[in-house]
Amino acid sequence: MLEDTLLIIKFKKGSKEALRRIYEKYRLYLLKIAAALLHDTNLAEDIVHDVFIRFAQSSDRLKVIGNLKGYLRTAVINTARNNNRARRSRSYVDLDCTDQIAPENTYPDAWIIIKEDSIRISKALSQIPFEQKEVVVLHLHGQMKFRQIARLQGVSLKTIQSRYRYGLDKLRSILNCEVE
Amino acid sequence: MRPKKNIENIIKNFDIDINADKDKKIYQHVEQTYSKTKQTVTAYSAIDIWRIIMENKMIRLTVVAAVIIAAIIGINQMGGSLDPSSVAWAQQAIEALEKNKAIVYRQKTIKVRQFSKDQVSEYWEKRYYAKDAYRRDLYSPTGNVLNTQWILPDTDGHLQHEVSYEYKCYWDAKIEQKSYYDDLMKYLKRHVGRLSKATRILGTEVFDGKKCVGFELAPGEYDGFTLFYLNRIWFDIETKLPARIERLNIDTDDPSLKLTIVHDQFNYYAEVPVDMFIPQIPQDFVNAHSDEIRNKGQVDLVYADVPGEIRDEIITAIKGYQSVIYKKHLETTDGGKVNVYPSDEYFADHNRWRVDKYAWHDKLQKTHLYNIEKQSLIDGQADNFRLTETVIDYENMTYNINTFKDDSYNRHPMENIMFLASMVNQADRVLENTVIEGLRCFGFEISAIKYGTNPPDYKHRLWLDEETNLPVRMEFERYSSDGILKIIIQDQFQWNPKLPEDTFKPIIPDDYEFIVLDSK
Repeated sequence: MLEDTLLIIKFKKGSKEALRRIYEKYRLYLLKIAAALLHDTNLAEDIVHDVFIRFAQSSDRLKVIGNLKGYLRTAVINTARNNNRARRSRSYVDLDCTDQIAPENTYPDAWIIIKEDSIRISKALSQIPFEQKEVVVLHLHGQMKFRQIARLQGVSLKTIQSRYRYGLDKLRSILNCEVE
Repeated sequence: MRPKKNIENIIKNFDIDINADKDKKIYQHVEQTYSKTKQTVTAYSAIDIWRIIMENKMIRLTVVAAVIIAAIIGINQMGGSLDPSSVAWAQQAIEALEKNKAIVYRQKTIKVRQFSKDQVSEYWEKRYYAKDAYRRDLYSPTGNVLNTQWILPDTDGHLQHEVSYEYKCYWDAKIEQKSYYDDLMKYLKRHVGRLSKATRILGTEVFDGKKCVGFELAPGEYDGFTLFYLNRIWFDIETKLPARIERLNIDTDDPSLKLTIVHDQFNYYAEVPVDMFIPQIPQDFVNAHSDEIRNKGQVDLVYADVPGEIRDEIITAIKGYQSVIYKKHLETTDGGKVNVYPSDEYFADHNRWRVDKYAWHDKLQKTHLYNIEKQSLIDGQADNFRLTETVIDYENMTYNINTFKDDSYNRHPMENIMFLASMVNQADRVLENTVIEGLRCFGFEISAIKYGTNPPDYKHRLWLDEETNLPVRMEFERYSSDGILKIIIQDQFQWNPKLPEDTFKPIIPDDYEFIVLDSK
């Protein structure tokens, strides 16, 4: 936390070293969340790339002190959520064209490479509703507490706990079908 | 079926790799964007930085004030009663208060030091409250008024007028504030209302020739309110009005220093002439803030704009210390030649410390042992402090024991460490991260001019462990008059080691002679 505050000060003062450290410290964390949430590595890459670009442009007006991880994570989640909404509205005409795209269809110049044994998890995640997936991913990969997720999504703690429970139940069912 | 934990573990196993070439390209793009952005941003001017710092200070003061007010309000939420008869007593006091039109009292501050003798500040204030008018005079140790502040109603709010007799200037500021008199009345009534809720009755004491009975409210959680500081209120038995209010051990920026604020010399029936509430500005005074006048002609101070939050985190880490061991030595550089002098070794816990002084070739020369006995007394004037020093001289085979009633000569080593840490938010610059003694560290450089009348080239550097926020290395650098660079270095810190039982016990060989020093 303290290192982050110092990094922000240096970053605001124009230190490329600080920018590099921030990038190296958080890009994998953000990419993993985005990849797990979106099940479209190409889009996940674009989102994280875009978040870093916007972050680089914001150095003079950045107000965040301390919780840089949370700041970047929120930026990724919000963009991912907006994107999901846009995709949902598109799906009436472009029915289900992305959800079932297997993540192993990695293009040559990809930034994210989903590990071999994670592909089936990614597929399973792609089959549960976005709201439930968001809670599962943010809790298990984002190390966020339910209370924090509730605040982020603007819903009650109980709703978040239910979404988590339903999400896990569905994942269990999908993965059981697949394996057993 | 897979149990819940099992599913959670499976999902947690989701993992990705990064394509290194693509990663490099993306970073280059981010860095290019950053460089372009930075080129268009103008650097802060010194004036901007100063303004930011001033604003931060104001914010900090406001927060402190809010905390104090919250603490006072919190007292009212306490339950329990120690003295049922006090309720009627309080009622009489409130009625008496409501009859008053002006109240005058004194405010003084006591510096309560963790490792040193308490001190009553030589500066004090006299405060005058009337309906819709307020005046505060700040007095110097010699009894001269240094500064007067008035707060008076204005068309849409209040206007604060201030005159500095010290800097021969005056200035105004618009403030959003309700009537000070009403606030004071509420404040006093709340104190009176607490009579039945006190956590302890302090008994009777005489203050300013008046016999008073005191009540105490301990800090803690009370119905959702946190009372941060111990509060004491003393009532004049005759008038049944508050005669003295004490707020004890208020935190300051320096973790080894707390303040106790005392309101006393209350005059509830003061005949305050109306013209005392009319700002009087001497003819030759200039319209400027005293800070501007004071800083004129001084060296421009540089600030790295380190947020107070960083300092707070460091202080929290240091305050948690139980014991410490470190080494201290001098390095000099004269015409490119570096001399490293032998290290002294320091051991300290809360009330004790020891210094092993070494000569060349690691030869132990002397051991100094110190023990503080201290009781916090409210006025800090009584003889509440005793420092015992035992010096064992291995070279001359002697020892001596000295006692001091203050610590002018010998200060607990943690006091300096805490003081420097408390100045981190005033650092001149943030140092590059580095590895010291195998630990990743961040650091700050602070000019000594920022805390006193030191030459501008006296510098402190402080490096802290990124993991623990505890000091790893401290340097104090200065040039002597003959151009020699001298650096005092504190390093090899061990925080919270389990010190052997006899660390602070003087072990004096039988054949050593006890000597009495002529003077100290």
